[in-house]
Amino acid sequence: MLLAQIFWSLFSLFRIISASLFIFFIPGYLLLRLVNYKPNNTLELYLLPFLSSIGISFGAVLFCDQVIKNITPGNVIFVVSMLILSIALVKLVMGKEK
Amino acid sequence: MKKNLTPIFLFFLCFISFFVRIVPYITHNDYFSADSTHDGLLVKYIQNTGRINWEDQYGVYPVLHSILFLFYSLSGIDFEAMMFYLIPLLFSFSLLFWYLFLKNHLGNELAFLSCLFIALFGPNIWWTSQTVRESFGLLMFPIVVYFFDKSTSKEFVPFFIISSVLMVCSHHWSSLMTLLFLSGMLSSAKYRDRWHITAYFLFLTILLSYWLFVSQYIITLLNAVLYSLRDKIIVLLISVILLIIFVKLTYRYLESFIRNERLANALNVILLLLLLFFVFNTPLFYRLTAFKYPPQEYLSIFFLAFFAIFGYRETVLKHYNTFKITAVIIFLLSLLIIFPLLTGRYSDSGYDPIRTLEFIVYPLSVFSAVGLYCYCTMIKPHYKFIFSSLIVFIVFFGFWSYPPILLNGQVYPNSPIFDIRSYVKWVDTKALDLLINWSKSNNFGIKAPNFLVWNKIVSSGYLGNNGVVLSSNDINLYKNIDKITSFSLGSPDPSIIINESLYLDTVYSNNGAEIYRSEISESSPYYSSYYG
Repeated sequence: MLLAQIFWSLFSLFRIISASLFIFFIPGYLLLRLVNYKPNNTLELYLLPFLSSIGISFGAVLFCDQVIKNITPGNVIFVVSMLILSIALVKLVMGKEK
Repeated sequence: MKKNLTPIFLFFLCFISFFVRIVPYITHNDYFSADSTHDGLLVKYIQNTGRINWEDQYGVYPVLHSILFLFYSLSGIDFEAMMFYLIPLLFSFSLLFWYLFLKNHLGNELAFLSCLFIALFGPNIWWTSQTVRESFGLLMFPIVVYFFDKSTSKEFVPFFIISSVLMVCSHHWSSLMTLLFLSGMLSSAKYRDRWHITAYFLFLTILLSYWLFVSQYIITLLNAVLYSLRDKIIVLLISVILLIIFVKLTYRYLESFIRNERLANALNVILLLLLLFFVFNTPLFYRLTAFKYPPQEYLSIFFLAFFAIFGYRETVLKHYNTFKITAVIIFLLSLLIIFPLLTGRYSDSGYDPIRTLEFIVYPLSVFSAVGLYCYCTMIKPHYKFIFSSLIVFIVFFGFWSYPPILLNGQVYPNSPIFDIRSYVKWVDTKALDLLINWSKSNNFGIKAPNFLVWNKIVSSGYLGNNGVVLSSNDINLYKNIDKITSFSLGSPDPSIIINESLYLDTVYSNNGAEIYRSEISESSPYYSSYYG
């Protein structure tokens, strides 16, 4: 029972951390890496992805509302992933052209 | 401040900012304002329907609701816990943008002190702890300012656009305050280059487009405000233009006046006396505020203004450009207080000018930081002790921005520290839950004049026309009706329903709330107010 409780708590913690990273850090960080952005200081390294990620998440929710007409966490994750992938693809193609 | 200690200080800043904003939830673990319950309902609306509620007045600003919905559904965290803790946490991070912005202009120490003043300023704490759209606006405010400042470099332009869009879609009032703030920055020659001017007009375009095409009710509201001021607007505009011309012409003399130590000291004494007059003359504040706040509410304002008086001269001497910009911004933001005070029409428009204060703290904290820094360097041998004591005082005053019921569960009626918000912003949930359970089991649809109770009923799904709920809060509000200046601001006049209830049958009652059978005629003012 105790083991199950510990496992469940760890799983909940993992979910919270993943959700925070997904909404407030990872999309912005990946985007900034893709556009080769170099921050001026350590604080910017964390704060700029923070803002960009909020922007991307909100944009994805709006996209789901206006285009897909259904906002679900799955749809939002899909839209964000597609955005990052398409930018990565464009970058890959442009890199080859150079 | 030693450079290697900066991360520790910044962590302390974020921690203390977060902590003072979650205190009511530690003691109560419940919502404490009608607006936050309404925003909570809009998050649930997205969850239930998979769409944003564009029909709702609050729903047209969906950033807060979208982020909360995403975080709630992905993290699996308890809905209330997420509502209570997420925004204070994000706000604490956003202070770091203000720190970075000021660090470029004033240096490490002053930037840190300024952030500390903001983090512990009463009205700012009160609004950022509520998880409403305005708290998200307050969170975005320093971010937009930071990127506006940086907009000369090409790589920051996309961030400025993202932050502007987020700000405009977050909250109308915060966007307006940001626009005024950016206008103030643009008044300085330092920011009058083509990059900043373009960035300014970009923000203006985003704002106006959103207001015109998405949130038209703001245009209607602005029309109503301008219409209510129609007989005085020309006089007011001319007075403001004359005031600007006067300041422009006399600025050089004013500046030399401030630079002269003796004259500046005399001016400081006058300003301090004026401050004391304002703080202790609370009836004067009553004309400005929606509620008659208790004296402790003004302690934090007093403290900030006190150090600002200490600091403005030093800012002129050492950071002249910053002084010019800050003074203009404070002037512009203060106009929003002066306008309604002169016209006395603010209550008609449903706008509380005291809410300007949570934004004024940003420029004013610069003066206060310089003042506190000078004060600490003046008394150098003991500055560590005095500095720590002052911080304790600021934290203490910041806590008092909450009504006592949110701190220790007491209301203290008939005492000087009695705060009417104890009845307006908080309701006894236990009694209400019992009442809602009764209405569920009897399939009895209910409504309430109190917006906070109304939202709780809506979230329970038992909104209906069978009965009217009268909570003990409504009765207490009625008893202390003299403490409310304007009823349009989230606290509907309880006297209408109380008078009506005298003629109605009681269907259910417990210690905190009662249900009356609703047989109100369509000619009743209660009917038109709450039944549409």
